[in-house]
Amino acid sequence: MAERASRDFDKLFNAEYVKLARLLYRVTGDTGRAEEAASEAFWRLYHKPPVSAGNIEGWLYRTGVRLALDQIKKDRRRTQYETLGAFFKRPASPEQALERTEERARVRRALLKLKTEQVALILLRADGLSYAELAERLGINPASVGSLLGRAQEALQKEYENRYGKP
Amino acid sequence: MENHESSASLEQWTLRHSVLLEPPEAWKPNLTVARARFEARRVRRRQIRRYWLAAATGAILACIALATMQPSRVYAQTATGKGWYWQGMYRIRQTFEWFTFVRSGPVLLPSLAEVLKFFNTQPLAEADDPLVVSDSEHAARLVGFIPQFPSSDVLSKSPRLSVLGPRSYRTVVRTEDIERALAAQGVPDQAVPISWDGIQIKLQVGATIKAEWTDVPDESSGRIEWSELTLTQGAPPAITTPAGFDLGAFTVATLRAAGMRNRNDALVLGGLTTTAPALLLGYKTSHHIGVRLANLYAYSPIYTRPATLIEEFEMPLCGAQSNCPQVERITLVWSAPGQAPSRVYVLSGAIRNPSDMFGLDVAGALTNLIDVATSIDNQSGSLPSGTE
Repeated sequence: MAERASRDFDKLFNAEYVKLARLLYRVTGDTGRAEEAASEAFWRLYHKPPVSAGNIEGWLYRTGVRLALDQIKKDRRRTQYETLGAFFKRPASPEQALERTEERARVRRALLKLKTEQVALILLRADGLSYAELAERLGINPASVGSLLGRAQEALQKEYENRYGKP
Repeated sequence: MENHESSASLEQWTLRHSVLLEPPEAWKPNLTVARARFEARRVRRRQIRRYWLAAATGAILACIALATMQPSRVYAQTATGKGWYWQGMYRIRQTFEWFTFVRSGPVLLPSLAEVLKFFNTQPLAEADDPLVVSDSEHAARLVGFIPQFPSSDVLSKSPRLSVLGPRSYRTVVRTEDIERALAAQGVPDQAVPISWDGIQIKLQVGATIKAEWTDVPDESSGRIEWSELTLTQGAPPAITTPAGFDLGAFTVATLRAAGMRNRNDALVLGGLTTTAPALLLGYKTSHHIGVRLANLYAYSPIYTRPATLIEEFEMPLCGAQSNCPQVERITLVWSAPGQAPSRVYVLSGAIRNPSDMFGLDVAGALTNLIDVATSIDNQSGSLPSGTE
């Protein structure tokens, strides 16, 4: 029984780790921190699995996003990572690089004010998941995905525009 | 579908902003490294749970032993000889070592082999085959310095001695390779100046003496610990670089590219004079590598000397096994600048029965290797008088 659970866990780790780490990069803006948060989410799943064995993937993704959000809330050096993150993109000009960096920071700051599930919905949707896939991944009712996502997007836009005004 | 779908414009607005957060295309999280770190954490947790009781018992035994040391010693010597007494003390020390040293675990260098490959170090002048010599005096005449060996208290067997002549190597730095390895490791905050590109580094290694032992017993525990133990010693390698090239920064960048993501760990290890030559020469192994600092004279409150401790172990496919990963070989590299001429030592042992990296047996092997190294360094006369 334990062996089977261990095999299942290994399978899940192999299947989801890379996807989860790349998703969490969208929150942290730093590859090392994204991997740390993904590893920690798997560790929590291994060490203290959720009581109901319903949707393990959903639990894993929500936990990962929450950990990543917590990480950057605590992180006073976020600006530094934003700057370094721009290095990888190699944009066309310094002005464009600066603009993208600032815009990226603004979106992340707005995301911080949302609920964990809302952030997970927005990021997974941006990752190209369909409504059905979102429902499956996060373990939510397929009929509610549209309205939940809509509310999350509205909340993000409202938070963004409250802070930085309408473009 | 009222209220069940977000409006197209809102969706577009969100996607337009979310796309800014996309990860770099070139970055792929390293699943193998993540698995290895997870396994190490899983094993460590299991071992901590298993050994806290052993350690508590060990501490109590240590207190009892200290309180009753004199009569126990007399009893041990008269009744059964000193064997069991020292074995008991050794075990207590082993437990202590496990908690203070092994438990912290090594810093993994999962990409070391890849990094060494792109150094592509080429020999400029190679030495002849090693020359087997009959004794240390003969070896000393050939190499021009008097070798130091472990004290007979810790290693009583005689070694097989051989001498290897001077040789030199060259490597050309390619910044693109280092940058790619850093990106693969997820290290975005390491500078790799473009001025490094194409720079030639030359490495000259003087004559060395190699001593080899087989089936080496641990004199403290009486058990055979090492199937093979080698001690190589010689003058510190000379590294030649163009003026203005920062070898320290290059070493730190290389260590981080090899998987030592923490800058402070890399700075500490890169600060040792033995690290850069070891990297440039290429520490060739098919095993996974873990690196950490060790202190020789660890039991002297007055004087310690830093050494680089390299562990080689089997890591992948550990699954649910409890005795994984297993340490196969341990190597200590240190320099003794107080000697005339200054000396570099490489002491390396293959463990007869590879053991769990967080287990007591590895703690015992580490303790033994450090004892052997310390006894070599003690004989060099480089210690301040009155210590050790």
